[in-house]
Amino acid sequence: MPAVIRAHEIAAFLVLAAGLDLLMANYVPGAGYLDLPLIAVLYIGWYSSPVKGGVCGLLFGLVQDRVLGLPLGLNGLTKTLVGFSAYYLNHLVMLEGVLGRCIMIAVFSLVDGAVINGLRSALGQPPRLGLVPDLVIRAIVTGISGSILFSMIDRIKFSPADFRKIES
Amino acid sequence: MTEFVQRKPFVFLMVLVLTNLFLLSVQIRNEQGLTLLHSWELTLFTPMASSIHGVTSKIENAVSRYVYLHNAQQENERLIHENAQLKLELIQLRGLKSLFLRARDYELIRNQYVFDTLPVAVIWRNARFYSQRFVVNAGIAQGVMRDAAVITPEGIVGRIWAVSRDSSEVELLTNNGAAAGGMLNDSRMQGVVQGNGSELLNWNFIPNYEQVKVGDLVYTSGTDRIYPRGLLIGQVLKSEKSRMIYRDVVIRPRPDYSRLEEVMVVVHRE
Repeated sequence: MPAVIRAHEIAAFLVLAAGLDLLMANYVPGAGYLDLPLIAVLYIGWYSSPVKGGVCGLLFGLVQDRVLGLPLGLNGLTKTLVGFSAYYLNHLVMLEGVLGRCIMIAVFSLVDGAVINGLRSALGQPPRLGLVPDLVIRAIVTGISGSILFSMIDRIKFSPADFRKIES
Repeated sequence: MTEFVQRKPFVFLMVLVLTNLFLLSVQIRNEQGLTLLHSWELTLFTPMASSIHGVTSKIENAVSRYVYLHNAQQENERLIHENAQLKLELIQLRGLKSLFLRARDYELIRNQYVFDTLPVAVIWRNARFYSQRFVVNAGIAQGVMRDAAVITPEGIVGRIWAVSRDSSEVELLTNNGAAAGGMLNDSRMQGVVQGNGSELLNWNFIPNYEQVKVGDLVYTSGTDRIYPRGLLIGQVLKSEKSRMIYRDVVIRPRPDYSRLEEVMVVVHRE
């Protein structure tokens, strides 16, 4: 599959993920469990380069920090690492199936949440009660939503000929 | 430069990670005060948040008024406000009665119980998963001052953390480092109620020999000079003797902070 993510597509992802995150955090109960920026960063890191993934991770993370009212750099740090490592993971493991992607996104979400809460503790903010269930629910919700979104964007972005190339 | 970055991606990753760590460290150093960035953001963000709140409120109102009877809806809203006001007045009067029985110091009474409230709407909140603050639609122009108490008829909520012209940011009592003076209604035992970033509160400095039972209600003592005396803080969830000289007491705040839509800011306190 062609590994091309253009700058305007990244900008669109950024605006969409941040905007939806901002609106859903206020108007959709339980929306805190869906980590849209993580999904976007993974997708970009997956189909571009580690550098692009890392930079996008930094941008998306900083925007998410502002949206969630967290200290700048918390999500910035984790999303940078996620964006960077997504590219290498794609080259190590061929995860093209929906289930594989779902598990991959869920694992990234778990690690992302655990690192954020670790950093929060280091900054003097004790972790919330019910921390582990929250992280697990977040990982499941983000994993399922992410794998569906990945497939949808693939269908929009790539032509059927690209998929035939993969299958052959 | 681009070629170098492509050839040495891990060096570039280190730069990105260090950028994040630098940002975090700058914020940690400034956490005690309000940063300029924060203040500007609040000022710039208020019109947008107010507009979104205004639009969504109008849509919500239009739909609900279409579904329910117009007059019944208005009457209900008026009664809710009136009920909230009456509950507060009842708390004030109970406190006055109790104080009159014990003390004749008029100035003390004025300071503790005579205050006005300004009803305000919560116009913005961050995801509850992370945040301990929210924004309300009243600021300096409406008489709101920094450190003013934010309450509901069910109990106290927090204090004004930052104020702009037409909006204010409220810090919940559950935020790490937030505190209020608390006391038991019957024994008048006093201690410091502190937030720790979780959904619960710690009640500190209660000696081990004091009788504090699970289910006891804890009220504001007024000693912090922020919250008026006699307002409900919450209910004791856990009370155990510790190895130290003070008991280990945990309180569940009475108002559900995740469901706040309207709160009252204490203004014109005597």
